[in-house]
Formats: sequence, C-alpha cells, structure tokens
Amino acid sequence: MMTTHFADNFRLMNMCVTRPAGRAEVKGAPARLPQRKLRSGVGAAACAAALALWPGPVTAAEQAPAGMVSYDHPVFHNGHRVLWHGSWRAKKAGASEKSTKDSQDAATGAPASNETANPQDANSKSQNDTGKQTGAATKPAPPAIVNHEFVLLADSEDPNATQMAVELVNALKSSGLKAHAWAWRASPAALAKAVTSDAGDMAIVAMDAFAADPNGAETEARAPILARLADEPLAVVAAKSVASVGDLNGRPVSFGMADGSAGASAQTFFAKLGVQPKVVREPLTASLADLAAGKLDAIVVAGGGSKALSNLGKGGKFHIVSIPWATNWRFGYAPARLTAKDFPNLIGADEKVETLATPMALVAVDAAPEGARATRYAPVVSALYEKFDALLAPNGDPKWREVNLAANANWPRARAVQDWIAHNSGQSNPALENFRSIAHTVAQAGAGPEARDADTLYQSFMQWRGDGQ
Amino acid sequence: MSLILKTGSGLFAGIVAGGLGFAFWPHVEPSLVAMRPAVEKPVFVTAAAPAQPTATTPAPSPIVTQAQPVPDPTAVSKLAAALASTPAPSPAATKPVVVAKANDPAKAADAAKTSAPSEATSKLCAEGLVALASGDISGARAFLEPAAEAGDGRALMVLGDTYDPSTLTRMGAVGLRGDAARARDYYARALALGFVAARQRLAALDTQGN
Repeated sequence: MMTTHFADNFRLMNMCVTRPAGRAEVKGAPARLPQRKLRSGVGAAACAAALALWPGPVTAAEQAPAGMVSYDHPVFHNGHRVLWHGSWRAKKAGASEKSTKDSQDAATGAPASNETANPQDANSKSQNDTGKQTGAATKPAPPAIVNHEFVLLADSEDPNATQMAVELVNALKSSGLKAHAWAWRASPAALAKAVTSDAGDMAIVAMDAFAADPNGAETEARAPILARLADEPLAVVAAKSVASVGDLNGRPVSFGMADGSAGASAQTFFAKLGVQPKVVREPLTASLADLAAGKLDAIVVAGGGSKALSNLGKGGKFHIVSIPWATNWRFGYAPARLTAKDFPNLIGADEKVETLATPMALVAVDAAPEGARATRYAPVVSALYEKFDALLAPNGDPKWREVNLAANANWPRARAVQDWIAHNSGQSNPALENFRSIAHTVAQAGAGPEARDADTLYQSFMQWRGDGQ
Repeated sequence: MSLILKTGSGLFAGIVAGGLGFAFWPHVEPSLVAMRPAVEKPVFVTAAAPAQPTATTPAPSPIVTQAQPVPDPTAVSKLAAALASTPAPSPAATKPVVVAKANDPAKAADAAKTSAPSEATSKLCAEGLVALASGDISGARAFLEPAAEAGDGRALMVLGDTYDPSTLTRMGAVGLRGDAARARDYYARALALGFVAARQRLAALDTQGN
C-alpha cells in the first residue's frame, strides 16, 4: 500500500474511500437491527425519505429500520452536495425534543427511551443513563466512544501530503478506527469552506498562507492543530534562462489549480519578494505541458518531486530557480535545499539548490475547543500519539521521521491534544522554561531574532542542557 | 373506496420506484471542480501578534557555558594535538569518521579560523534556537545546518543536540527519534572548534551506550 508515486497515491486514496456507515454506540443501549450498507449514500437517503412518507406502523424514533445507515458525512453527486448529515442526524428537531423529554423523564424518574441518533444524543443519553443509575448529583459519564468514520483531506497536487494522508489513514485503521482520505485543495479559503460545510474531519495544510489570509486567524481557531508536520520545500521550475525569481516579474507563472496549497504559498512568498508574475491557474499536468511549449515561464510546485515532473527537463532546458534565504523570510518559512534526490531531472548530481520550506500541519476541521466536535478527536490523538512508531516504518514517508508531535506552532492546539500532552508530559524544568521564555520573547520582538540574540539564546540553552549532566 | 386504495397504492408504488431509482444512482466523488477560490486576489495583512510575555533574563548559571569562544588557533591546535594523543575513553568514541575530523590539528585550526560567525550566520543560529525552543526540531536543523557550514560552532553544538536522544527526551519530544551517530559527528566538529562542552556530550553518549 505504500508508494511514493503520486498517481498511485491518488488511486490509493480513492481505494480507501468506503461509504460511511458510522452509528453511535452507547453502553446500555439496545442492539440495533442488523444493518446493511447500501451501495450509495444517496440511495440510503432516498429510501429513508420513502419510508418516512410511508404511513405504516414503522416509527423511526424507536429503532433504525433494517438496511438503513446513518451518515456522518456529506454526500456529493456530480459535485453538488445532496445530503448533509444523513437521514437520522437530520432529525435534529425531533432529537432535541426527544432529548428534552428524556431529561424530563430522568428528572421525574420515568424510563427514558434508548434510541440514540447522533454523537450529541449519545452523550446526553449516556449521561441520562448515569443519572438514572447513580443519581443526578453524580459526575457526568465520560463521553461515549462514537464509531465515527474520519475523513482526512489532503491536497491532490502535493505528493508528500497525499502520501502522508494515506499512511495516516492506514495507521488509524490499524488502531481500529474508521478513516479514509480524500483528495482536496489545501488553501486557506478551501479550509475555511471545509470548516463551515463539515466537508471533512482532518486536513493537511500548509501554514504559511494563513498568516496572509484575511480570515486566517478565524479559520485557525476553528481548525486547531492535531500535529505539527515537517516543513515542505517549494520549488519554482523554470527555463534555464530564468536566473532568479525576480526575472519572473510580469511573466506567466502557473500557481497550480485554484485553491491549491502550492498556489496559496506561491501567492504569499511572491508577494513577500515583491515580484508580481502573471498568475495562471491550471492543473500541474497542463502547466508542465505549457511550460514545455513555452507558454509559461515557470511553475510552482509543493511537496517535492512527483511523477508528473519526471519527464520534464531531460533535455536540460529547465531547472529549479534558487531562492536564497533572506532575513525577511521568517514568519512562516524555513530555508531548504533541494538535491538530485528530489528532482533528478532538474538538479545535477552534486548540485544543491536553495529554496524555501513551508510549515505543514495536520488540523482538526471545525473543532474549536469549546465546540461539540472537539471531543471527537480523542481516539485519533490517542492512536496517532501512542502508536506513532507505526508511521516510522522504513518504507513509509521519511517526513514522519522529522515530526515532533509535542512541537508548538503559532496556531491553536486541539483540545484532545492539549489533554494528551497535559496527561503525558513530565515535570517542567525551570531552566528549560527559561530558555523557551527567552526564545518566545525574542521571536515576538520586531523582526524576530537578530544576530545579537544568538548568544543569549545559546547561553540559556546550554544552561538548561547542562542541568543534570 | 377502491379509488382511494388505487390512488394510495399508486402513490406508494411511485415513491418506492423513486426511492429505488435514487438507491442505485451511481455515486460520484465530490468534484474538485466545484471548489472555487473564495479569494481570487487575497489581501495580505500582518497577522495579529499574540500578547508578549515578560522578558526574562537568564539567571546566572553555576555551570560554565561557552556562548562564543574566542578562537585561538594555537590553543585549538594544542587541544587537537592533545586529543590526538589522549587515549579514547571507549571504543565508541573512536568511530573513524568523527574522530578523524576531531583529531586532525590542521583541519581543526582551519575550522577555528572560520568560526567567527558573521551577522547572517548568527541570525540563522538565533532562528534555529527559537525553532528548537518551540519544539520544531526539524525546523531548527534547517536553520542551524547552513550556520554550521559557515563555521558557527554554536550551531554545531545545538545541531548535535537536535540529534542527541538524551536531549530530545529531556525536551519532551514525542515521536521524534534521535540519531546518536549524527549527534556524535556534530559534537566532535564543535569540539574541534574549541567548544569543550561537546566533550561532556560525547562522554554521555558513550555512557548511554549510543
């Protein structure tokens, strides 16, 4: 299942897609009738509508009819969203009324119904059960474990992100969770849409463009971090006549598909450079064809080389344009070097090309700490943090080996991550905290760390590192 | 009555037929084309800076640290020569590549000549330390590597720490594995530049069996 081939990744991601069949499982709730997955989510919705109209004796509030499944994810047809939350979760009003009635029943000692329709209902029902067993004054029961199917979104034109998404999905599955990966676009605008439309549960995004996005802070708050991932290099592929990025001013450059991750990053760093190319938005394959035909002067790609690039540059006409590190690159970028290992057709065997790397993150979609969905991610965090070694297999993406799950980012953390770290972190060390405090102060000051700060930072680091030796 | 039954059954048959039609409607994955950019021309603004904590001055340390040793080629040569004549503390410390770099007086002297960091190098080193403090280990390496190549001994020391399993554990890193061989290599190069604290690190790696 592991391959670095982009096309294989895309195929694998589609192979991973299974129809969602999640249903709530609450301790104490009666077993449902045997359920059967239908071939299509739309079909299930239609059958639900038909049965709802049937004036027979079936009352959906009592139990799910045989053959019905609840849908926790939106269903699309020809690009249009035709079903939002599924037949059972759509009965919000009824569920609320029922929940209220259950609460009243619990308060009066009357038996409550055992029907549970969605995670929120599951939690309230679980708490009601606890209340009945131990009294209303006892502490609430822990959230019920919901058999939810997680959707992981990754940019389809970022081979690193798609590879990591496939591997993460496999790791979650091996931990007993249901998950699948979907090809997507990873710009700030696309993530904002995902947050508001419930289009997925997790996403792999490039963090640099969010600082420049007008709604970036709001999106970050609603899509907190599950894990800070390794930086990803950006590459500007151009004809050898293009010596520097500045040469691209006013010339046609492809930023990839609209709403893509590479395009969002390209917009950001070209703006920081003060270079204004004529931006073209088209898929990578079309961009490569246009570059070869001379219709484009350059293209911007993210996530290292992909198979689509393997046939470019064999004639020695193209190269990767060097972007030397400059002091104004901070706040979102790190220096990076590309070698022939990354782009064998575009970089010589002993050559190194300076470029930029953008920080990446795995975020939880629509999971603000105070939101109802925040608790959903506890099993994901548990699987990811406690069985991370599974992702470090020799045939896995080497980017996993650069990940420190405890790393902080200038981005809010998901509540489940906060809980895990608070529960598993050791005692704080005053010297280490002092080093971190100095680094934070320096980082926030003006233009960031200056040359004169190096000694102060180094001394505080060595002071901490010397402790205990 | 029969008319009502006929109408009712006709309505039911229609609903069931419609339902079945939808049921076997082929599923199509969400179209990526449907995703349109919400912001065609994004406006770049400066992100709001979070509240700044109170600046903290490091307390005087009882431990002697070397922030930026003044490179004395003669002293470094003597140190390197002494290292060459000193028996290795353990077999692990005599790993060929590392020790060759550390024990070559000529190379050590040459390195010492280049160890006065430029402003740009110091800035890279500072960026690397800031990244390290946030736990972004791989990001720290990205800044420190070019600084180390430019001859900054501090960067070599800290790079060694980013690979040192003991340092990573003490920093609370989760998931990231150390690489004792690479840590040893960087420490040895720092030692060759006169950063004697690297000797402690090398000894600790030996003690820990790395």
